[in-house]
Amino acid sequence: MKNRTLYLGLIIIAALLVVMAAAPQIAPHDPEAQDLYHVLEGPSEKHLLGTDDVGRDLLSRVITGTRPTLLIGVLSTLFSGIIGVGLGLVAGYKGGAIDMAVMRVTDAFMSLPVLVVTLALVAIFGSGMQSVIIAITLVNWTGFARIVRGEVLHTREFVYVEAARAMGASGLRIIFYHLLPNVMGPIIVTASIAIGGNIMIESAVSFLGLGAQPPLSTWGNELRIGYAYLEVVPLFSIAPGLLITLTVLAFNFIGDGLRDAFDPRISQTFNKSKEK
Amino acid sequence: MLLQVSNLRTYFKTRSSLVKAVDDISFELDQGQTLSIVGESGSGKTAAALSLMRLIPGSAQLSGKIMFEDQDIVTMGRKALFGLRGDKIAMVFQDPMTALNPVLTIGEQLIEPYLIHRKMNRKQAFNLGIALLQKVRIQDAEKRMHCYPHELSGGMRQRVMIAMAIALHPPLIIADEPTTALDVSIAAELLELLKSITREQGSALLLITHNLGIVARYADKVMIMYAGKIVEKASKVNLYQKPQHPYTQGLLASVPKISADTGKKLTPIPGNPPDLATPPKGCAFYDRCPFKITQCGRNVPKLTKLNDDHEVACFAKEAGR
Amino acid sequence: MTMQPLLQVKAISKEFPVYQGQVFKKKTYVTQAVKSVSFDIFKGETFGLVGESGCGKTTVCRAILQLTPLTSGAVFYKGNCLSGMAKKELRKVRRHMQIVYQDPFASLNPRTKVRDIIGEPLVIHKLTQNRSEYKDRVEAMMTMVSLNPAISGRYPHEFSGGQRQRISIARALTVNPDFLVLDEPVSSLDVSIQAQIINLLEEIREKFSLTYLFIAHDLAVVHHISKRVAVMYAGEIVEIADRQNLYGNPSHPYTKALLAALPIPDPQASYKDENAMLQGGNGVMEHHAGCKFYVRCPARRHLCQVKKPVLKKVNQHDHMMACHLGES
Repeated sequence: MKNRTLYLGLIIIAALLVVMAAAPQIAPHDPEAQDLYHVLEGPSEKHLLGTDDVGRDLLSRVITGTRPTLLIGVLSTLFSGIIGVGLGLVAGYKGGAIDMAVMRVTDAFMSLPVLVVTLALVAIFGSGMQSVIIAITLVNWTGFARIVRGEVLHTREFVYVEAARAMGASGLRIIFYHLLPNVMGPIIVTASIAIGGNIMIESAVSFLGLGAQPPLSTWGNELRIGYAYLEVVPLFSIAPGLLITLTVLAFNFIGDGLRDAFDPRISQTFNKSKEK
Repeated sequence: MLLQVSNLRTYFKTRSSLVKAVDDISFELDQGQTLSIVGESGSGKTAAALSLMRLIPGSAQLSGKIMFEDQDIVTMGRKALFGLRGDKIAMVFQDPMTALNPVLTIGEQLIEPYLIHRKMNRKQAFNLGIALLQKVRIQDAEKRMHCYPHELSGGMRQRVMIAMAIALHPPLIIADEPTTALDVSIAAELLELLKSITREQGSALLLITHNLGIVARYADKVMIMYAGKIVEKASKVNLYQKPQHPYTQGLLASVPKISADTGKKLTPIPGNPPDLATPPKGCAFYDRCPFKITQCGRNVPKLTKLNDDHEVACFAKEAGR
Repeated sequence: MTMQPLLQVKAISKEFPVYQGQVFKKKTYVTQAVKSVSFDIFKGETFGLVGESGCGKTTVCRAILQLTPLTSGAVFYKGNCLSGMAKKELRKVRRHMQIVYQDPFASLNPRTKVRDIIGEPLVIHKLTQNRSEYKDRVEAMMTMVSLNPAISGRYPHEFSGGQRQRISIARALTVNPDFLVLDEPVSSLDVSIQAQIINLLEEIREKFSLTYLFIAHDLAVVHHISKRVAVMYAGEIVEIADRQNLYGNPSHPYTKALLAALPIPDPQASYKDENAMLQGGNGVMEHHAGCKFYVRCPARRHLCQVKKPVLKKVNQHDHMMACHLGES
């Protein structure tokens, strides 16, 4: 059963990747071309999803928006995951002063507002995707760190961790061989949720004109602008909104599937032998 | 006859199989008697005890008859059942750490039976609660009533559990491994206490344990369970002096004894118990049995009487070995 | 006896600080988990350490393996002091000292296949040259503990408690240790399986001339397997003797009580020493000068409350106990 949802998730993501790669070919119109005779119109034969407030084809904008949206969502999650998991593992395993220090740093970063960080980074690197990705990473790794640390605090109490120490295993080996696989479940779940969250953060940043620069479109951006015209052209915001939901759902499916695949206790329930 | 169980079956449905946790067991218990159910983990002894009070999940299939004071617990209505639990049949659980609610004081939990079954007011119940704690020999009873479970040691908590069980003088007390989680010296004292209180109140005791030493000291009758079935049922003296079932004999031989010659190897039972989800066709002990004959692999042996207080379920025994 | 012991435990103590206070945590007092425990273990023997939960026996075994820092005292292995040894040196010594834990469900990593659990010490100490050597070694170990090597690709949850304990034993033996700490290795197993594991442990001890520290709370099991036995109460050794003396002639009231409380699987057994049964809870008085067993002791007197008994010989057989009994 579980595997079916994993495959469904993979199929959706694969489809999105195809759209992303072939965007210029699939898009029926130039996403930046304005059709001033058709401004804020509903679906028609010419514009399948309708047009936006300056007469651009919504379908084309959504299609070309796939690339920056996914890049920001996935990359910022990946980077924040790497930083957060690493620090969380060390803090949880070492405990004491190191744990204390890491957690206070985490608290500090957590209190940073994304918009302010982005503003600062834009001032340094100029506006654009990389500033957004770095900004989201800087703020978001804290979630991973906290969750991983909590899980490690619990997992390291298992006797098998002490057994490894008694065998003479080094700290690194214990962290990567014994602890990491056992905390993979929550990491994957956090990551799949974070991807959706990060897509939305990007939209907020874009709204202020700090994210992906116009005329480049992202789903979050479309959703924000379209929201103002919800009663006139509902699809303007609903279409990118549904796409975001679909993407988050797909990553959640993959996350759940991966978590179970990683856990031998669940992935083998069918040929399970006697449990106590 | 206080309790008469006949053909009790408790089956649990899992996704892929039907687990016959208790498979056709019958036994009786007289007023004031102590009956012990002995078995290893997974033998169905706890499921059997829980079935007696219908404390099993709704999805489980329960059949047979449990006649308790001329009522059948299996078919009894919910209201009558709730009236029975705690009042007529009380239970002492294995783990005193989880059997008490950590956010309520000892007193609040202890007086619950009085509030539920006797509709007393709190003040009355509280005073009776103090008397109960004194009865299970807890010092400073009044002060202890206001303690939370975590402030008491494991042994003390189990005393509180016993106090709750005896509160309404139930005719039957079921104790499921009451001392397994405790240290030897504390366990001995608690069992003495339980035994003397049940004797004094005239309650029957169903003592579930895996420890053959405890059985030898406290039980009148013994039933040995293996893979959901009773394989041997006898008076205590008969069971220890003339154990008949190969499993019983194996158990007795596996226990290290202080009196025994040292340097001598123990005689364990080889192998592992069968998986209850996929039970063997014949006798469940077949794979591990040193005396098996062809018939054992084909049919399931039934309990047969050897004499008035000894029954055994074994083909090899019938065939005269 | 001029032979040098394989393992010497010299006056080890372990304190855990207790902090109180909401904002400014203050160290109010310390709990003594282990207090001045000493014993020697000689090559080839099985040394039993008995005590009830919380008496500090597990802390002693963790201290011996250097898994917890000591407050004071030292542990010597083959004459070398382990306490304060450099990490690298310690890793080398660890190869020779292995441990089997009580809980066969928590002591194996659920995400690791059985072959990699058993082979892990080989990887850590880099003892095999290639994959096939590794595989051979793991399979040999599995065969030795009567596990079918064909199932080496399975995960721990697919095994029963007894089989998991066999896996633990195989893991401990892969690196050919000399000394094994057995921390309640059979107490969570069913009776019929318990006997299998005890026999297995005895077989491999003879086969590889191993030395055991066997920790347990079951006096009958300890009697069966040990040559010498120490009894611990509240962090201290109260009696220590060879098996015949300890069980034949128990001297400390606590040892007597433990033996009296032990249920014997024979309805005809006489419980000779009913008086030795303990009364009262397991209250340990933390803060008084005398004997820690005072509150529960059936033979207590005034001296016991004011003066702490020390471990001393009761007869010529190296039989020691810490009790004022018999003193005037």
